[in-house]
Amino acid sequence: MRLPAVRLVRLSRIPYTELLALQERWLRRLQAEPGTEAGALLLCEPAGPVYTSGLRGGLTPEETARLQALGAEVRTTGRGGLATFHGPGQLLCHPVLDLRRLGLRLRTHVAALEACAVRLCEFQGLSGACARPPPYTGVWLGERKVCAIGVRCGRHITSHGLALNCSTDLVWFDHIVPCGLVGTGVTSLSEELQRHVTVDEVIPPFLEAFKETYKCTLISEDSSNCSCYHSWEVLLEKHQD
Amino acid sequence: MVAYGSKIRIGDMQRVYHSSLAPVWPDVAIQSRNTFQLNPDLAQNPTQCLESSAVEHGGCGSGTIWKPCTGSTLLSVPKFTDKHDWITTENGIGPVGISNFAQEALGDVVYCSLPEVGTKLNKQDEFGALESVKAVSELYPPLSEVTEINEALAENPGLVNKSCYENGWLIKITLNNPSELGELMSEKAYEKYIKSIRSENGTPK
Repeated sequence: MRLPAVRLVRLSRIPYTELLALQERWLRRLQAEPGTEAGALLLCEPAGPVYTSGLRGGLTPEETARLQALGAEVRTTGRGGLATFHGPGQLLCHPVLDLRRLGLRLRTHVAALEACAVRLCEFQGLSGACARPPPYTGVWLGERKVCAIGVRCGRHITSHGLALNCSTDLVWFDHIVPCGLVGTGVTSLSEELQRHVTVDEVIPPFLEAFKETYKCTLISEDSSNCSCYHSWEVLLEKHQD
Repeated sequence: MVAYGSKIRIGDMQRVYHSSLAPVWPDVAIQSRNTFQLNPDLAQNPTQCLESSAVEHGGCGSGTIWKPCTGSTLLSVPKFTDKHDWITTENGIGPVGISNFAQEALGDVVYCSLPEVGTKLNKQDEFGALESVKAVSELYPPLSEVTEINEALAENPGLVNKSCYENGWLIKITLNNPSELGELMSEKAYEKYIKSIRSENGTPK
């Protein structure tokens, strides 16, 4: 049986607002013609520091002003979850997926995002990574969160996703209560492995984990820019036709 | 289609009809629900319908469950959308909520984002959203204008899980065009729809 094909949209360092704009275009595309495509996996590294809040809020106007004074952007979003931080050194992954094409419900999608991040940690040699039940959704190494999750779903199409700390400057997290969870910590792969882990290094194993977890193939939007890692996938797709 | 054995509203009272009534009242009475009203006498004496024949007095004997309705106080049972919302209406106004299938799929609801009273809704536009920790689900209306929102959900969003068909209602709307209700699914049709989703996905829910 052919696996559903998700389009891989790999972006380099871009401002968060650009990622949101691209996400919006994919949402409109998938909602306009439901059932025709499995969706897209948007991957990027945020170019600058940005704090975001979710549907329920998570940042008061005073907090917002304080964070802006630090030099960060502050954005509200319609995703689940409370306040979090995005910035350089972080892998930001927004799968815009048609859940029905992938045979998933919203809860299983959240669990799948957690599973991807856990698998990636395992690939990096961190076997203690685990997901925890609500309200501690996300991926943890001990009492420290390495990956935050917050999604939205309308008409079976998902948006937002996960943020995995690779070499993020964790000091930015000191200025908020991440995800509203008082007393918990934040960590990164670099912190845990005691070496500099870049976002670029982490992407190929992440994509493996994604395909494994979501039981899909990934096809590059722009095959001329494919790295060797992707080009054989594209060839396979063509041979299956 | 009202299933035998299900709760039926009589005015403001509810009675459960046992399946022993099934052989007595054929489906045609239920199919005519749009023009019939439940016999209010049965609120006081539900077993009357067993004691007295429906064919007396031209089909409106004291034992009749369904009587022809001349007024506009038509009651309806929930109708469902393919987005797992339900709506019931009385005089063209009624509550909207999410189905049991939807509340189970969401998990524990922690927050309800609902529109303001007076908002006019379009079928295509989301009217609100429910958050179940880290995952926000958009809500789409069957139709029309918001007359009331369930204030209890601000303090107690878990009502959506505990009582999705009663205390966990989300908004009340007026129907601009009652015939649009005809486009929605009956309870039986909705049950079939859920079965088809479950087998399509192939995974136990």
